[in-house]
Amino acid sequence: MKRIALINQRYGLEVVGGSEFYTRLIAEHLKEKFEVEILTTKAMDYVSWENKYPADVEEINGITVRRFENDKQRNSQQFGEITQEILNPQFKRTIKDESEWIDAQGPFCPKIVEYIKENKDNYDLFIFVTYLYYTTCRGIREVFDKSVLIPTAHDEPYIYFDIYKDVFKKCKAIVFLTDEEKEFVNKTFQNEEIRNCVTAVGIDMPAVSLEDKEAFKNKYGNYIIYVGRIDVSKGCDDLFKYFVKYKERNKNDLKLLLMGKAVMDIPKHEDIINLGFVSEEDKFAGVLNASALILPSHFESLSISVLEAFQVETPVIVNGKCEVLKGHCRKSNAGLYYENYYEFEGALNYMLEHEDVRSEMGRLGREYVDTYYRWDIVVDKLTNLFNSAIEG
Amino acid sequence: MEVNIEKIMDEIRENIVKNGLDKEEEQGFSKEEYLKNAGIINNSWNIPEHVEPTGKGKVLKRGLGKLLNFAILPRVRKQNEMNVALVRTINQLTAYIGEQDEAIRKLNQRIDKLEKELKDSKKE
Repeated sequence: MKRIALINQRYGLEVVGGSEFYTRLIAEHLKEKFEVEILTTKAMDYVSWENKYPADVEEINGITVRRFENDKQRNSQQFGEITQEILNPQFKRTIKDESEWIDAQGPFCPKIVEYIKENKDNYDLFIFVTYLYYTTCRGIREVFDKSVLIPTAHDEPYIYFDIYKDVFKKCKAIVFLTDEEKEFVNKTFQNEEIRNCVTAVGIDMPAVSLEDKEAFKNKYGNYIIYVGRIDVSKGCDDLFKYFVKYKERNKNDLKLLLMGKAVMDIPKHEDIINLGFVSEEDKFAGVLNASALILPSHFESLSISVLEAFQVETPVIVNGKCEVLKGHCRKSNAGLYYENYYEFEGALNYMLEHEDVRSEMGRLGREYVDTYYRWDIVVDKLTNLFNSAIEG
Repeated sequence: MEVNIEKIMDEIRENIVKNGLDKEEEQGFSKEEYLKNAGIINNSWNIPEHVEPTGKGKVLKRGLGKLLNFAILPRVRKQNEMNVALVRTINQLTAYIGEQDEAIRKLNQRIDKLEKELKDSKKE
């Protein structure tokens, strides 16, 4: 079996993060096709990168995980100041400045880069997940000819740094999570000639008992649901603003249910109900009974929560300013989108007033997930691309 | 049943126009929108003075460009000067918003604490 290494800045069952969770999912699904190892740091949180995991090597769900110590923690305040300076237009940014910024961004882990360099011939392929961090930016340079990049790219200021050009142009292959990401990266780096595929994850759904399903329906009645971190960066401030205005203008019994960790204040409103962090079973039961899942975020690479909603035949209402989310709606016909308050209100009322259309959207969402987001399809695409990259 | 979300979105937008709601300005500050646009401005403020011509007739285009530089360059430089000032202002505003958010968060914490103390003292 060919031996591949997946590199991510963090890895573990306790780690909360989109790209980290994605890395764990694909590692566990690829272990039948390849000898898979994880190369990662000992950090558990992405703010300080403090070394928390004690073991150098451990096994998690049948995958060997090699951990390397970060040489230093990140000081958030200092990093914020460096970032503000480097993004300031008066500041004539050089490669040296960008290089220092990468080191400050972290996780500062020269040991992982050293390991990759010394063990280049012991692996057939190195797969780097997330372009942004030190582990990818430094590590990939040691093994360009044996590397696959899974960038999870957004249109954000850092991607335009010169230091990332080589990362996107010299790798052997690229995996994009969405068509929109591919279009953006190809346009930004003119790297269409690099072999690539567009594939994401399969969607697994735990069994939801009839009791759980009925419990939600009986307790909350008619509701829309938001699942995820409750944060300004996820567009939740606009969501609350819009929902409160919606309730002022529309006298009905609709509620907004929230499921996730709150890192911002939630308005005190009788129809906004925060359930906090819930179990997977409760999450799916909640989404299953919702009139729609609402996702107000501007920046999404993939949105597993939208795909999970489709899996249980719940349509979605999403922020139309996010090309990835709008793309899911257009390709599936299983959701509506908004770009201002009145479109938000219009989309919501349309969903509530057209139960038959809503039901059909739900069915179409399930069909979309079954077509593009099944594990056998994802594993096949990744396997073919990785083998092609190995064979040259 | 055929579902076409673009047709549904068109219907929703037509209703908005029919009810005159499109003429109402979107009120209120969206921090996410602000930060996204601030990021775009930080990336795109600089107008390059020279752009290498592409496509057919590169030599001719290059020559024409050199001839017109006397008129174009001063305007580009003036525009860039203004852009720098604008971006500088926006970045200052971003820092100010961050400071105010932190101050508001601390005040909210104090309010919550005082409300709780008041509630507890009333129970006694």
